Amino acid sequence: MPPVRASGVGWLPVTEADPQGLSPEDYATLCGFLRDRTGLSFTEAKRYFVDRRVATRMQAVGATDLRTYMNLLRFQASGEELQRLVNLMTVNETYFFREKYQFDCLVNSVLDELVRGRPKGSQLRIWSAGCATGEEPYSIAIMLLENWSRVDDYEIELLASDIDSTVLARAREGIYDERALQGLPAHLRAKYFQPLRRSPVEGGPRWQIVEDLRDSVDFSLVNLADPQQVRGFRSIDVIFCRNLLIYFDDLGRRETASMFHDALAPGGFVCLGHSESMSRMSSLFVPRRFPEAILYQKPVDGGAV
Amino acid sequence: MSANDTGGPRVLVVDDAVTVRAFSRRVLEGAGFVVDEAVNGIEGLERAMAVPPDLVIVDVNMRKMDGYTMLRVLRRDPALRDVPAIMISTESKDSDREQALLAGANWYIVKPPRPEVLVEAARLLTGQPLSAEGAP
Amino acid sequence: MGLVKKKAAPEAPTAESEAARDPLAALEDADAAVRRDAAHGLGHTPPPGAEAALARRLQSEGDAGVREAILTALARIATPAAAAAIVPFLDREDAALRNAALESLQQMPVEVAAPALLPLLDHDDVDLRIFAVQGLGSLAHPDRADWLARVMERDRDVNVGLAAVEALAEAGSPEALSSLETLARRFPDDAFVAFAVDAARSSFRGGVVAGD
Repeated sequence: MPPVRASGVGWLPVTEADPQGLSPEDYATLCGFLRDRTGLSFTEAKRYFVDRRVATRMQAVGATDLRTYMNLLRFQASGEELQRLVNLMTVNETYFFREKYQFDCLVNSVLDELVRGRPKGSQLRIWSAGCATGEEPYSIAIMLLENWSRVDDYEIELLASDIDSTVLARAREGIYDERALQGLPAHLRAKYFQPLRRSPVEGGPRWQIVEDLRDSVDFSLVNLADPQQVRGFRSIDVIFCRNLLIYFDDLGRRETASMFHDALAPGGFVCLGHSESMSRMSSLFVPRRFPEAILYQKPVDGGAV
Repeated sequence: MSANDTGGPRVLVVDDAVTVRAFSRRVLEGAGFVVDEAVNGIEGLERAMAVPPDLVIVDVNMRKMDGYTMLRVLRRDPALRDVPAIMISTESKDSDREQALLAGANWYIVKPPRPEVLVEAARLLTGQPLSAEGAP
Repeated sequence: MGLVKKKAAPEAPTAESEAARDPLAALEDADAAVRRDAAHGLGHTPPPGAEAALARRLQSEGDAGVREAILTALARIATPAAAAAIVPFLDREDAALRNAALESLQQMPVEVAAPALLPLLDHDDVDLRIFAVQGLGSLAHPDRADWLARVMERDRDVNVGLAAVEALAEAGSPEALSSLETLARRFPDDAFVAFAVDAARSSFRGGVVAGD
């Protein structure tokens, strides 16, 4: 089906994007739609952020009012415009301790529950799915060493994967700039990173994460859409998949969640991005509320919710 | 009852239909309740865990998590197991009502909901005085 | 103990699983993990007969993970045979299963899902007709407004008409306005019908249905 045309009589001339942005009603309509379709949630606080991006896209497609633009978002068969808008709306940059409250949840609540009844020396397996340049799995490693009192009682395997081989190479290398490290307290930077000698062509200062931690994360190239590639992940206790599934369509999210369910040990958890929810993805998980965050659990008996 | 500062008892309406959520909100707010909404059982559980309601009104047929499943999970949660629940559905066979009861519903309303039925059931289950006969 | 050091050498590629070798047979394996793998594999590389085999397995499958793998596989295959294989599951007693089946149809391309759902608009069972309206109402199809209009004008059950109204409240077509009014006239004493029709009407004018 071809993209919806404004007013059905061909493209309208492009006009100036409304400098005042969306009306409160239009903003609510758009945010409601985005929330229904993608689970992404935008509050009033993000108003300017949303307005600018929507105005840009409306101008690009020649839509003069929001309803026209939203018809395109709703009914375009390829979903291309919705994907473009979503990409614009999501912050792609990753950095150490991003959404740190979820790591706090891991070391303050989730791990203790998981090891209840497990003898010392047992395995724990944590998978960072969509790890990009490695900030997430390395952040988990640092949090475990610094903030989990029982880290030495168990054998903890940290697995990390991404579909992009370039970012994986950079993750294995473990070299980061100021922007990536800004969320880390100075004493942790000093403890876990070594400054690199600067060369005139390299730009700002860079640090490399210590070899011990580079050796503690097992990076692999994995396309989550391929069941054969995901098959190698089994008996996982916690999967971090933050702000990745929003780029998938409905069926893709449903399938990936199903494969995460397969990969998890019974009672295992999935941690999504802060504005994501399994309510838009899959029927296989139960939400669990901890003091710090909501995570999604595979039923303990492995069966239906 | 945990009436909060801004209104009466809190009702969580869980239904994938925006018309049902909006109608329930209009009717129940008019009767002094505070209303929260969720589009399916998963979102309903998330909301209930974050802000415990005094009453849940839950639809049967929803994608991702249906009403029976949501109620079963609710009844397993120590913090939420005693929250009264009204199940609302297009289905009207006796077996449907029985299934609702077994899942943990306290009341069953057949769609489309009548405003007076919604309000009286909500009052009954949140321990509020019922309207006098003939009163609006 | 603590953080385990990763393996020095990359793992040898895992041997092809039995599920990959003969997925149709593996679909009936005693081990749920094998059945799940088989279903996922069939979704991506379906041999002839995959749809029927998946549907047959779904009839008696008790494992939630396998059921979901089968339903996503059928949605991924998305042939007319896959859609037809799912339709009988819309009728099941198990609410989770019938809703998951509808979802699979909604996740198929419109040209596959619509022909599978359309015949259900004339079914005797009210709840099946409601599912059909919900499914069709979620599709981007040039005839969508006509289908919804027909339901509002003619279906004898108010909840089926209301499912059409709901579809219009979420994504309106102003050409359905007169059919909305017909529905309101057919069920004149119902406060919910009046509210829903009004909500759908005002959404056409660019308003928001007053909800979350």
